[in-house]
Amino acid sequence: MLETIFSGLVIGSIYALVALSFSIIFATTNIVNFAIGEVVMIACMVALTTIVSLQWPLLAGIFTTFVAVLLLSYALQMIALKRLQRVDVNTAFMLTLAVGIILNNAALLIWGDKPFPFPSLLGERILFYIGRLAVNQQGMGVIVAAILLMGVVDWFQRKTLIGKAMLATSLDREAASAVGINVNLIHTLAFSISALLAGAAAFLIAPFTFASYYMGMGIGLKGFAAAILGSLSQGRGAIVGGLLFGLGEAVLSYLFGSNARDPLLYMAFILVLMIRPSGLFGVSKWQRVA
Amino acid sequence: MKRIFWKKKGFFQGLFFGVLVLLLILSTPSWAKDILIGLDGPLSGPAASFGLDALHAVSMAIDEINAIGGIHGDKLKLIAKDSMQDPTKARANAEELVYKDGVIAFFASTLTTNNLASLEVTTKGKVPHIIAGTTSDVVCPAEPGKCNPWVFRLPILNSWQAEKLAIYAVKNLGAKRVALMYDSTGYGLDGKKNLEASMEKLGAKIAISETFSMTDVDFTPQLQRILDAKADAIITWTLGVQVAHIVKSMKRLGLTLPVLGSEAITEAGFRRLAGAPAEGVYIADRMPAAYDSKDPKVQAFVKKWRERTKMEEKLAVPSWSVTYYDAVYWLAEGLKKAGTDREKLRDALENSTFTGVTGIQYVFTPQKHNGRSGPDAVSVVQIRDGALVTPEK
Repeated sequence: MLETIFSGLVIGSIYALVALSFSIIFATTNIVNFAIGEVVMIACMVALTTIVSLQWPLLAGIFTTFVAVLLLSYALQMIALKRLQRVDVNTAFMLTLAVGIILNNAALLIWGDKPFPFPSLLGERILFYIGRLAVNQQGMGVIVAAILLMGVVDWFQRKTLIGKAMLATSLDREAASAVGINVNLIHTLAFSISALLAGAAAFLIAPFTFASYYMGMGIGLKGFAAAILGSLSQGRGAIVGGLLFGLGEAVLSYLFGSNARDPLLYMAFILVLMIRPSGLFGVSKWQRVA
Repeated sequence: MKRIFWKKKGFFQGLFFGVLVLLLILSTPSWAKDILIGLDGPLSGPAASFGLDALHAVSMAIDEINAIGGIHGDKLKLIAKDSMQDPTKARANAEELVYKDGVIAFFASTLTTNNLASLEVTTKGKVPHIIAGTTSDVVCPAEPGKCNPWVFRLPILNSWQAEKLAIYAVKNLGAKRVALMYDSTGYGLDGKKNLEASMEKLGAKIAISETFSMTDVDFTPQLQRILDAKADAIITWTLGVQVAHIVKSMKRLGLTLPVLGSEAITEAGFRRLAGAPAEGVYIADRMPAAYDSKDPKVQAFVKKWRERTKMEEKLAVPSWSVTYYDAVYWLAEGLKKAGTDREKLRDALENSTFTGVTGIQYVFTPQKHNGRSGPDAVSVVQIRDGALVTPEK
């Protein structure tokens, strides 16, 4: 059981990173960016091409990957936001969905359908054992890196001025604008941070999942569900949601068998939402409709 | 006075027409006809590697046969069409090949849905429909007389693989508590059904059955349950990607149980993705291992194949390519006996016995359009050092 819990936490850390990505964008722009899963996938494939196929030095490959991801998220922001300042959020997230599908198909065309093995950049040496489970550098690295990244984002949001501006914008966009916060800049910042998290998630998870054009769909969907579970608007809530989701998957699978895992998991998910619709840690927001 | 002959009236017109007629006669080679063979498959897109494996094999066989005189002097000509993963395209390709090109035989796509789509056309058009790739039981059932008279199948069947794997696990590996791992797709569920039936026939016990979806990456929970159930062997029924995840998870848990899988994982992708954890995995295959075969004919064939396709040494030759290659030679024998009349060809094919390049026997009768015999036609190979070899046990 211990082994199951640990592996659940590893996967949960990835879900948490993705959930946080969703949460940051949603909190500041009220848009759900459905292309996040595909952004993770593109980051993976770019990393694979530069580091493995083209044999670039590791740092160059990593740098290129993050640049690509930032450019991609900027394009997403332009498509979903800039031209539609007053349009409603549903259209915006439909657009992100559409972009996601385009990215998915583009990846299929460019890289083909076969999964590729992804190198464990953090190393494969076994560090210690939990029960029978050998925890290697990559496995431990996922948890440590995820905690670090989320900690940094959290600190950034609460302790730096710009971060606080982000929080302010997410609480009340009009008021933030009224006190002189450049809302457009904040939006760009949100998309960028989200993209960087997605890029990091790619490097952490690809050794486990292999890199393929379809890897983004599962991660995106589960990350989104995890964010809803925790709280779509509160970063910390989203993180916990991700960890719970990962743990839930693993533990339920172990206790009740894999057949029962998904029905049970999503039933629990629905129950939570029925009791707390804004997520476990969400705060209900009153919104003016007129 | 005598007129110079080339100035006579009508000379040039006559010459012109004479040359024209001569050219027409020369341009239609009436002393050798090409025998057209149609092939439909995924030649581009996601499943292209299977389609190309088939195309190379068929082309190679045709080139060889033509080089030694073809069919009584007539050359075989291949018309290959790409249907990717689209059944409507497969159907359209079949219609073109049957009605426009007039092929005398049709090699179906390796993908079952495309296979079925083209089958309607070929059987209605009375063209022998040859299946050399897929192992699905659906298209040409093994029960006597259940297969469409125009359809011929050369590979082994999934149900036979399941039975062989069950027998191998229990008899050769001495497993007493076998664990099943199958995916949630039709393929996986079909495999589970077949394996359960086979284990029951053997009177053996399935310790536990675990399922998973095609997007799962971590199998720690399932493997923990398999450990708890004290299983001593694992039979998987899924594709290479998932088995790669399974064996990697097993490595992380320090599990050294023997793993057996279906023919799908003979594909190189499994070994590439899994890396070292793939060592020792047993796989059901339609032929004995070619890589370490002691038969000089097999080695010669592998060498020719590698020269033609530049395939890596460890990969030898894909098993389904061998079937396509054998199928062309088998067809050629039928053509030599019966000529190009399709009815006569079909009759010849369904009363034929043929030995393939690797020594495999195909036997066809009017009641039996599956060339291989049964679970005994299945070989078990093992992964050693990245290659598929004959297992020690």
